[in-house]
Amino acid sequence: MRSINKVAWSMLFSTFLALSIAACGAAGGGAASNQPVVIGATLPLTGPLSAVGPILKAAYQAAVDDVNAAGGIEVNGTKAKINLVILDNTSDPNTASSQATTLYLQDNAVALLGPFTPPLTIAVSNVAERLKRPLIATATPVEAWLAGRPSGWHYSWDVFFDENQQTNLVFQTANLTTTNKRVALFTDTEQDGITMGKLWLQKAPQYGYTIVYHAVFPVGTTNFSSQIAAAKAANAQVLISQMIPPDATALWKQMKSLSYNPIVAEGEKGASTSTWPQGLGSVAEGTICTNFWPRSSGYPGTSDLVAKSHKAGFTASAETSGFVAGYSITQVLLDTIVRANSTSPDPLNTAIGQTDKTYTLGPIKFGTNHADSIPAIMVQWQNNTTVQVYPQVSGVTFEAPNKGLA
Amino acid sequence: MFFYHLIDGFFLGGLYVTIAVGLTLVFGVMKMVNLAQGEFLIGAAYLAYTVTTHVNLDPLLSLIIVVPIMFVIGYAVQRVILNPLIKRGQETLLVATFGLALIAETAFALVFGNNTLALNAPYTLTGITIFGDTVRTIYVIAFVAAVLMVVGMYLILTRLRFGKAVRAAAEDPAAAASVGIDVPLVYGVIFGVAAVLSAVGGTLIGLSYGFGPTSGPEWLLRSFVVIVLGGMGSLWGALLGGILIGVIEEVTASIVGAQFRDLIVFAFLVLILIIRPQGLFGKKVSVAK
Amino acid sequence: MTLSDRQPESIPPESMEQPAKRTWFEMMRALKRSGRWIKWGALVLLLLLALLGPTYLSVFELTLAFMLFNYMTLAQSWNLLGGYGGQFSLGHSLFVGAGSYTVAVLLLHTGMPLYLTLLVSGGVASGLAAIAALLLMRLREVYFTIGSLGLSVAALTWMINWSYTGASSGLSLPPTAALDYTALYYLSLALLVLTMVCIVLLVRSPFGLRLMAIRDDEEAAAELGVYSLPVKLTTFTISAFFVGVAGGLIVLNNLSIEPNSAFSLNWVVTMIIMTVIGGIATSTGPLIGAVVVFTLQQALQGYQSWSTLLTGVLLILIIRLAPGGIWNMLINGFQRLIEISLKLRPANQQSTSQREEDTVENIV
Repeated sequence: MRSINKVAWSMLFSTFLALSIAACGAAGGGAASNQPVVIGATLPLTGPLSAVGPILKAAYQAAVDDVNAAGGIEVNGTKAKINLVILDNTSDPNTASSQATTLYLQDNAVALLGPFTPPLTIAVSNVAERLKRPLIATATPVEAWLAGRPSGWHYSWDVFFDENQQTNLVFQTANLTTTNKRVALFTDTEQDGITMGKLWLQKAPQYGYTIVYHAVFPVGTTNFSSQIAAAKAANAQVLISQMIPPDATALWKQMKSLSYNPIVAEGEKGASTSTWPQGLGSVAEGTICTNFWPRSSGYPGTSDLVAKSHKAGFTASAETSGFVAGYSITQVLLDTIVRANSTSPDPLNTAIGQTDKTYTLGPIKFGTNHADSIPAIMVQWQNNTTVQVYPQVSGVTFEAPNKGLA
Repeated sequence: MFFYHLIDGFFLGGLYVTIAVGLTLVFGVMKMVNLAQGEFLIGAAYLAYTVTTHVNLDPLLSLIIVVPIMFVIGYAVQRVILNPLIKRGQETLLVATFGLALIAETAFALVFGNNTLALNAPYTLTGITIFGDTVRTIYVIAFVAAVLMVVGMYLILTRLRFGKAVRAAAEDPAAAASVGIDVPLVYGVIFGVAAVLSAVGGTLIGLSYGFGPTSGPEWLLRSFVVIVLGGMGSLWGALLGGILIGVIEEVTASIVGAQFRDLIVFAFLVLILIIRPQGLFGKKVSVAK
Repeated sequence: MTLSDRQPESIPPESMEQPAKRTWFEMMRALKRSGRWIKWGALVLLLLLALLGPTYLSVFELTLAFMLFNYMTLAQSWNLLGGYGGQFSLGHSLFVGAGSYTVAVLLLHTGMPLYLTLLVSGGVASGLAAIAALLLMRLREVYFTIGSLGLSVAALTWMINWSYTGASSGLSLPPTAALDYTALYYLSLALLVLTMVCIVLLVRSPFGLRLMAIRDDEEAAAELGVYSLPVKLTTFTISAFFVGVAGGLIVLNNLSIEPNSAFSLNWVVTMIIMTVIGGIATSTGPLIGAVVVFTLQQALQGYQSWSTLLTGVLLILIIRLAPGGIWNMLINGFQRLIEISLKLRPANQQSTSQREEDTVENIV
């Protein structure tokens, strides 16, 4: 049957490979209709980073829906609706990269809105640079993002806090109470952990603090027994940590079990979602973490967006801030399209750089490095909500010593 | 200080034993590496979570409900999907259990969402002082559970008639079948039992740490290290291996730093495979010339 | 090829007596005889189609084709070691990452021309494979699998901490490294063709026979003087070479690299899924598998979880019902069709060209 095999083989092979090229075409084909203006985003809706992905998705969608409800935006003399395409990159930079390419080339997105955290945002920014199409991102610390392309970004933009200012906050906050100024630093090996870890090491002496113990561990660490024992032995009354929520939850539970009770305990990134009190109960009380949007500033649209965020299910203050940030950058993009009166990449890109307006997130104006640093603040978990403790606002007292771990 | 790390590692190792016993049992009886072991652990944790949110039970007590369910699932999976594949060799089983793991992982994400969950109980927040060192209570509980599980399985396999049938089937399936032992049934029951053991391990994980749909693979990897060190297929090997791995992890974390912990543990795994692939108590492994 | 290939062609007497059937039969016989020409013709045609790709494919479709060709290369390379060699490796992600990082580091720190860096990346991957082979080759079956997995995970942890390669932040390629999509398309096509030619020639050579003999029965092969260690070492090295170059292409496409995605277990998982679904230990299987899995992933872009779920289900269905993969399923189906139409065999009898089952025992 050898020859039949060959005939069969060649016929089927030809069919399959022809089909595969067709499949490429089918999956790729179908040009978007000319009418609506398409913008897109590739977000981590599943996977380890799925805590924030849905927040940005809801925020982008809310901004687009609001604009569409008002009739759309006016470009080139006609009113066009916005079509927002969102893809799930499962927290994988490779997928984010290929999805960004899909969005730009297949869906003809005139611009993309960002995913978050440096690994994903840098991957998507690289696609934007290569295809020379604009991207506006948020929820990506500025220094880490800039480090992704030392020669500078030309088509990508980022609106978020700068780690330089953000890492000052914990010392400024700790100064609100009395401690022995001995610090235990717990950072993971991820980008944010390394960047912020270095900055904290640098700044501690400037504020009169000493880092007496520094634990470095990979993302996904579950057991912290030896590190906690070392921190206890070093008599550190201030704890600074930068880790993802699951790891932070594990650390806090173990600190409680092993009776390590720092006076000030910061859970950077880890304590920023509503899963913090959900997972820890009363142990969550008193944890501080940074936020980047002071509700008290009363920027335009504050109460409206807060309500929208709560309605979408995001009630923790860091989540609401993320919602506001996502909504605001979408507005920036849409405003830019109107101002530039064009959907072509270069005019659009130039126009983004000319943004100078106050949105709900605050005043947004990009520097020459394409980043806009917004000031970070420190909040504290008190009675299952977060309140701003630094810079101090009236009516809020900083709780110390930390009650959850006492 | 070093002594405290030893104690910490000792009890942490108890937890590692509970997650690995099921895996080693399945390999010992069926020569099958169950790549879905991680998902069994996490699945049991999810089950316990579901039960405890509806019925106000302590998570360990919820095992009363979780265990029978896990047994049925394990038994069904083995008889329907895996039994017909046993004769095709280990690689086929690897792929099949891997496919199951994929399905389970996405099912968890679809049903429970992507957030990290945890099982809560008062004893997860307390510690016990042993020889001057404070150890998490949950680790001590896990250690006790580990010993009970290993001793229990040992007694079942040596004292009960069914245990003898299991050992016969493990030794030589064809001969066992020829004396009337229902080998497919034995395999099914053993996989069910492994699922039950994993249920205990998974619940302990859920209590000690959090878990999410993607938590499976990391626990699977750890289980691998434990059983390779102890000897794949050996119960006592799992006990000793788990404790040793716990100690190694804690000691290296304190000396070298936790960021290299995984590197050292996996380099250790490869080293064991090169020097002594059968681990501490496993059967001698044939090696290529 | 299966044993059934060696059956002689039989001419049933009845068909000679009916003129219409005789013509049909003679047509089929002519077809069978020219089978070889048809096969080569089809291959040349496909190659031409592929070479002309950029003329009829949009830029987006070029990027899709790039990824598809890469996946095909990866799957086929794994297939060499895992399918033909019988060494089920879970460590191939190591070579993807090694290839990617080699290209990145060379482009950033040396002035090496881009195309040369790709060759070097393959070389580095091969070198690592040789070391891994020397460490692991004495291990059989699952022990080898676990060992390869251990090496891959250990490498990932190392890379997360190695400051020379940027630790967990990774590296960004210099802007000069950005190739346009047409160039990337041709590079990945060239790699695929090279991989296919090498592997097909290798498998059909005496070396390939030795490899498969070792896979099927290592002891018997040893008794015949075929020693497994040098053969496995060579196979491992060759397999890793193509994976390393593919890794280099991947980083050229992404323009940035970080350890978690470069050394991710997803790579080897995808290789295995594509090979098994398509048809393990066949030369066309991984290609078919790559098409199927890739199309599925692209079609379900918005529903990632469902895509993975379906892949898992597909994997189990294939392994249970059609272990030879989709390719064998189709070949057998097509052959049965031809046989039935030629009345060489009644429709209700099982075709002998079914893939052979492994063992005699059937107790379970």
